[in-house]
Amino acid sequence: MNCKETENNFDSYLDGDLLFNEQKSMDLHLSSCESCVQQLEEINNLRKALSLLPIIEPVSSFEEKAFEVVRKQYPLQGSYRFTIGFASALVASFAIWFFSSLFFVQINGQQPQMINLAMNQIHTVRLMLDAPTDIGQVTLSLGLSDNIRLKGYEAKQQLVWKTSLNKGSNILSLPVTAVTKGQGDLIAQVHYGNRVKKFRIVFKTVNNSLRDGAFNSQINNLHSSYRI
Amino acid sequence: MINIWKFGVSDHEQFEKLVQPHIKRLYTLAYRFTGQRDDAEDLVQDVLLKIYPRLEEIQSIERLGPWLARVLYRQFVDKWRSKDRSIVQLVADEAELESVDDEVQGPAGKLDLTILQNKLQYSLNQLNEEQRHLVIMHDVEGYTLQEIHNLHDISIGTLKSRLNRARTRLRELLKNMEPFESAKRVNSNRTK
Repeated sequence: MNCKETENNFDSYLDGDLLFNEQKSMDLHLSSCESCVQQLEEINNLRKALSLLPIIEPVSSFEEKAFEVVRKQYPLQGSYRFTIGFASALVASFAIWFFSSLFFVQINGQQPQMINLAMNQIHTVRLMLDAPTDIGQVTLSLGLSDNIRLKGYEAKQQLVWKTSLNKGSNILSLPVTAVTKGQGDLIAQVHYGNRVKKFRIVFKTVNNSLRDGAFNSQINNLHSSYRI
Repeated sequence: MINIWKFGVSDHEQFEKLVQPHIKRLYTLAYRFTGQRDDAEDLVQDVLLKIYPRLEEIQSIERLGPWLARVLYRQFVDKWRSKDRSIVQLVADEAELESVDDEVQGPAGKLDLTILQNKLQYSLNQLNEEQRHLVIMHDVEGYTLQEIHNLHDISIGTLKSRLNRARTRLRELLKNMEPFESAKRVNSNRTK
């Protein structure tokens, strides 16, 4: 390695990004070239000094105000989405506790679960899909009867998206509302490979007057768990 | 780890959840480009307003940080460079500084450091825009050459050469610099 090549590799050398042979070759050159050693030292010092250049922090409310300006500039117009995330260990343990205490496992094909919904109120229904292994290519679909609405997707009775399932628990958190009286349902389908798994939850709408008292505690957290 | 699909999330919530983790670094970069806190805040605000309509695109970006850095740089070049602004504000108000480690710096050491940083900042400001941008991204903010290559589609070989030239120029400027008064702000551009 000559001086020019060595100069070109100063950053990679300092970052430890050189291959073993390149590193060896550069070390060899540096052992006999005082000029390159001096340059390397200067660059190293310069990089360190630059990385320590001070900064004046923004005002403490900057982030909050910046997002507030965005919210005002672009007011919501009924536009909602769904987000995919991963529960932290704390949330995961919370969820598992919930499942073990409140949930029951319904095997595909068995009797659908019945859930009571108060009219025109949003209830979050959490479905847990319990996958035996990681499943890479999955198509999930949700079908809602005419009297059931999903918050953020009020105009849609059918939602389809491609995703993957993790081994173990996969949770769908669904804010649903009953808009007319009677029975309705939600059908979730999981397509993967040549297989289709279908799950059904039946909703029964009830009068709002039943919200009070003991019934209230039943509708706050409605969950079901399914094994894929 | 549990996979969660959460429905009924507003665009605002989704946008903030995606962008918020990058705000601090965006501000830092904006501060390096503009040299002023107010200007840096305004630049980041401009970027947020510019990208919000592209929420769907943002959701699909695997590494959002570098993408945002690129948008910020383009915004700076397009809208801010033309403004008559001083790019650099030297360190005069030490109380405002957050990144100097007071515990390891005695009063004399701190003054020396401030003088050195003023010299360095001043010299950095004397580089041409291309060189300054590269040094800020790589040496000050720690972006790798590969990341800068991805951002600007400039070959790594070219980036290395430019970086070498920029540093050579920077070292020359530092060596040739007259003794510097630490409290002196270089606001000559502003007062013109």
